[in-house]
Amino acid sequence: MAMTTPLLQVHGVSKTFVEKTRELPTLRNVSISVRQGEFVSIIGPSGCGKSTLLGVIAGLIPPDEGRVLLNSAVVTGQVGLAGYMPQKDLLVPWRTVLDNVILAQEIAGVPRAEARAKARPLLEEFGLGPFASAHPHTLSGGMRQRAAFLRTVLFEKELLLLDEPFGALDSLTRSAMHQWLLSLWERLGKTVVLVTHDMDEALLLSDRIYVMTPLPGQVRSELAVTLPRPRRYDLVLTQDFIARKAALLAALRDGAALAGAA
Amino acid sequence: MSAVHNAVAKSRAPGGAARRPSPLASAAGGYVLSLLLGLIAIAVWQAVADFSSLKQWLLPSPWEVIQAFAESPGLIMRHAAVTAEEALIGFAVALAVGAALAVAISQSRLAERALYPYVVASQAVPVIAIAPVLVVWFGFSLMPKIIVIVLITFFPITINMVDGIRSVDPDLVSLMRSMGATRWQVFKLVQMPSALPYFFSGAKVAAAVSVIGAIFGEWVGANEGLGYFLKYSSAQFLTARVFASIVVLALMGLILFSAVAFVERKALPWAKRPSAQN
Repeated sequence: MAMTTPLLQVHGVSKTFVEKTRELPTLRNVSISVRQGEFVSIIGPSGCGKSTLLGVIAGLIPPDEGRVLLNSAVVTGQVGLAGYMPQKDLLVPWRTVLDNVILAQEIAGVPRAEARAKARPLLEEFGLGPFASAHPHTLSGGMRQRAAFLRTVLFEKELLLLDEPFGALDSLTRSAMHQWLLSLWERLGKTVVLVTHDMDEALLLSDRIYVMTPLPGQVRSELAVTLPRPRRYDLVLTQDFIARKAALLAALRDGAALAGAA
Repeated sequence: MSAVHNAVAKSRAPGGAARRPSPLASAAGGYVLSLLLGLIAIAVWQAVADFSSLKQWLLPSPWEVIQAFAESPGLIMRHAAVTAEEALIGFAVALAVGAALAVAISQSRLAERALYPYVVASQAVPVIAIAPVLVVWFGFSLMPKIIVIVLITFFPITINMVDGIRSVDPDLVSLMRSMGATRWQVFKLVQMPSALPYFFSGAKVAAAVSVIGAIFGEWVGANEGLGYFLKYSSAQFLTARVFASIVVLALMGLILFSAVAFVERKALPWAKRPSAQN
């Protein structure tokens, strides 16, 4: 059954970056697994190697050790298998919003007209309909991020890798984006790996959370978030949520203390 | 949502309008000022020519320059046409050579190491010394002029374009790769469009300088063209005619530059806006 074999498995991944003569151990023996349809967050302090982990899963960064498996097949170092969304929106200024979101389709060789026709209804659904022929610089940060997310969705991969997608937004916009992503994800049925350092974000969106230590990044602990779905943003004000946040904070501090002692 | 957007746009408009006039009005103001500066300079020049004891062959007045042009407009324009043709051909070749070098240098480490030193060294070649040799090799043909023009104009195109291709956000390249883009697709979809504004910056410099290149090529060996015309007019102390030719040359450079700027605006309507907005 699909439930028994995880969609994504990361086994014992280690990575050390070498700059001139200095070595920077970034990931140490990291293993995670994500089931189909699951929303999993990786949380840790800034610079703990969590973005590197996402880069390894996306096939952009070759690990020194370890393997990445997708549907039980070894895919270490292979690109083009997962939808990857970096923190920056990276919308190109010379394309309209519509033509920005079809980038992946165009790379795949889909004719432009066909890709546009496919993207238009989704643009409406993402609240970007009126801006289809606008250029990205006329959009607000939140809208740009939505366009970047739609571009990732239109890559049409089962697995989405989101690298602090809301990190650059102000907190009000960010909470609106959380609410939006919650309802969208429930409809899309995608599997998501989200990298974040925002505890509310991780708890509100995820089924499970991996807590990472500061460098070299290791998985310190794993938390199941059993809050019922569908979730709404005001969940963050409940006692249950706050208790979980306290536990997550303790796990993060633990991780920091552990790394300090090592 | 669009209502919010409109409200923001409306609330911004009065403040923006108060701070500076519309782009068209300020552009027109700039041209008026430019014209005024030109008129003042001409008036001063006329006054100096009228009231000093300098002979006409040393300092012709603006009026005498106009007369010199009016005496033989056909002659000057015939030579100008030759120069314009050389400048255009040279400029076109420089665009192709400059862009091709930029692509090679930016795409291959090997090409960069092999070519870049020569690209830079080429700018130290004294055109003064090489131009007469070119005339010996190729005679009074078009070739020496084209070589001189390309030699002095490909450089800003290449250097700017290499910088443009390198200015692409590496994260954007990573994103493209994560979507399975080939190197050619990264080049076509991201690097080329990013480099275009830089390419046009280089092309504008090249356009303005290409006229000088043509004159230089003609100066050392030609029997037509404004460079040749300038040389023999100056040898005959027809200084007013020299100045008239220079004015025609200046206009030529201005027209070529404006043409490139016009193409740039049409081709890259997105290029100038982002910085003004954010």
